[in-house]
Amino acid sequence: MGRQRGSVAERLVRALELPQDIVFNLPKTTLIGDVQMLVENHQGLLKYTPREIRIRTTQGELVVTGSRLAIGSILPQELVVDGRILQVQLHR
Amino acid sequence: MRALSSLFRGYVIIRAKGGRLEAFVNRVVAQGIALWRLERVAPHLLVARVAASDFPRVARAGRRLGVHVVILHKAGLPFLLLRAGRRPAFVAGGALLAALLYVLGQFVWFVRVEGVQALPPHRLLAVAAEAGLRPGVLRDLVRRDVVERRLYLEIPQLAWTAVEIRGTVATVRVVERTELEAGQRQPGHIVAVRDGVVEQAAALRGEVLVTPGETVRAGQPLISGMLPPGSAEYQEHIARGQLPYVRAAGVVRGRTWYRGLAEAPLVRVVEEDTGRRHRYGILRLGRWQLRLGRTAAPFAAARWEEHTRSLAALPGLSWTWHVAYEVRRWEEPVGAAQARAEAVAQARAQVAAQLPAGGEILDEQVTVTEDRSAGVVRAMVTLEVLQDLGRFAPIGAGPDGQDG
Repeated sequence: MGRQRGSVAERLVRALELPQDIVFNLPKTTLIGDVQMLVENHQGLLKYTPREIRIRTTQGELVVTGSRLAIGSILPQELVVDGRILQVQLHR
Repeated sequence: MRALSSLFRGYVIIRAKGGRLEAFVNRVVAQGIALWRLERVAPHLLVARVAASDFPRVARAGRRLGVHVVILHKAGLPFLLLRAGRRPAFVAGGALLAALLYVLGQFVWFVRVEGVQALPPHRLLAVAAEAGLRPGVLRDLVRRDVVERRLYLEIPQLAWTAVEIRGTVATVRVVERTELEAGQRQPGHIVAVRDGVVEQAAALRGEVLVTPGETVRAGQPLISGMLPPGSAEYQEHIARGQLPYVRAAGVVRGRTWYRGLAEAPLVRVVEEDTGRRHRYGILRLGRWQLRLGRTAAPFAAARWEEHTRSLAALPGLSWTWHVAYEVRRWEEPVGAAQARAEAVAQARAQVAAQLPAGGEILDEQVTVTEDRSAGVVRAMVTLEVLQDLGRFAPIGAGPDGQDG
C-alpha cells in the first residue's frame, strides 16, 4: 500500500517537476571541492571522529571519510562537514 | 551570518566529556539548538560553540546522557559589555574620549596657505580670519564661498582662490597674478635713458612728445602717460574717479654718443738688478730690539725686501732681515706708434664697457694727441650709436623716474 502510494506520489512529483528532496525529505549532499560538504535533511549523527563521520539519512548511512574532519555546524536540518574529504559513501 | 548574530547575542565554547557524544549532539540538535565548530579533540572529548542562551538546555541534555558539559570561554558582545560593566571608569573614560574627539573634530584647528609667492601668508590669513575662517571656528560656520570672495576682493594681487576644509585643516589655495601683470597697471612715462638725438618715435599707448631730429636730455619724457585733457579717455578716467594717467608704451630710437679716454707713456722706466746687495738684521724680544748692520745701503738705487722669522715657542722673539738689492734704472723711449696703439686700445675698451645691449654702432671717431712735455700720448674714442632711447619711469617714482 505504502509502496504503491509512494510510487504514485513519485510519479506525480516527477510529472509536476517538484523538488524530490523537499517532497520526500531526501538527503541532499553538496560537496565543495574536497574541503566542505553540506548535508541537508539529515537524521542525526551516528559517529564522529577526525577520520570518519557517519550521518543517518532516510536513504541509509552517509559515510564521509577523510582527515582532520570537523563539523562546521549542525542544525536540525543541516550539517556541514569541514576538513579534507576523501570519500563519500551511501550505505543502505 | 551566524557568526555575526552569535557575536551580537553572545556564545559560549563548551567542552562535552562522556561516552555518548554523538547521542548528545543529536539530542541537542533535536531541540532545535544549533552547534557549530564541533571538534573531536579526543575520543571522549568534544569542543563546540553554542549560543549563550541555549547553554542551559545543552547542559541539561548532557546530564541526561551522562555527558559532562562545561563552559571553556564566553564570547560576544553581551559578555564584553558585562566585563566592561565591572570597570565603569574605563568605559566612561573611553566614551568621554570618543565624545571629545568627535567634538574637537567639528572645529577648524589649522589654517594653511598654499601657492603664495610674493604675498605674505599672514595677510591672507588675516583676511580669511575676517571672513570667518580662523583656527578654533566651527567647521559648519565657515562659509567657503564668502571667504573666497573676501580674499579675492581684498587682495587684488590674487588671480584665483579656493578654500578647502578637510578634517580639522583648512587650506587656502591661491594663485597670484604674475608680476608683469601687476607692473603693467602702473601708470608712467617713457623717458630718455641718456642725451641723444631722436631718430624714430612711435607710441603704442600714450602721447609722443618728441619728433625725429630733436635733441633730448637724459630723463626727458619722450612718450607721455598723461592723457590729453579733453580726450574721451581722459573723461572716462575722471568719471571713474581715476587719475588721468596710463602706462605709456612705445619705441623711441635715437643716436647717442659714448666716449672713452686713455693715455699711454712715451718713455718707459727700465730697472735691472746689478747683483750687489746689502743687508741688516733686527732682533726683537718684546719691546727690546737689537740691530745688526748698517741701515743705509751704499747704493744709488735699490729695491728693498724684508724677511721675518719668529718661533712659535717664543712668541715675543723675532728676527728680521732687511735686504737691499742694487738696481740700475734708466728711461727707454717707447715708439710713438706703439704708444698710440696702446692708448687707443685702452680708450676703445673703456667705451665698449659702456655700450648698451642692442645698440648699433654707426660711427667711430678716434683722436690721438701727443703731449711731449708730459711724455704721454692721449687717445679719445667717440662712438655714435643707434639705440633704444626710451625707459619706463613710473609716475610718482621721484627724481629717479623724472630726471634719470
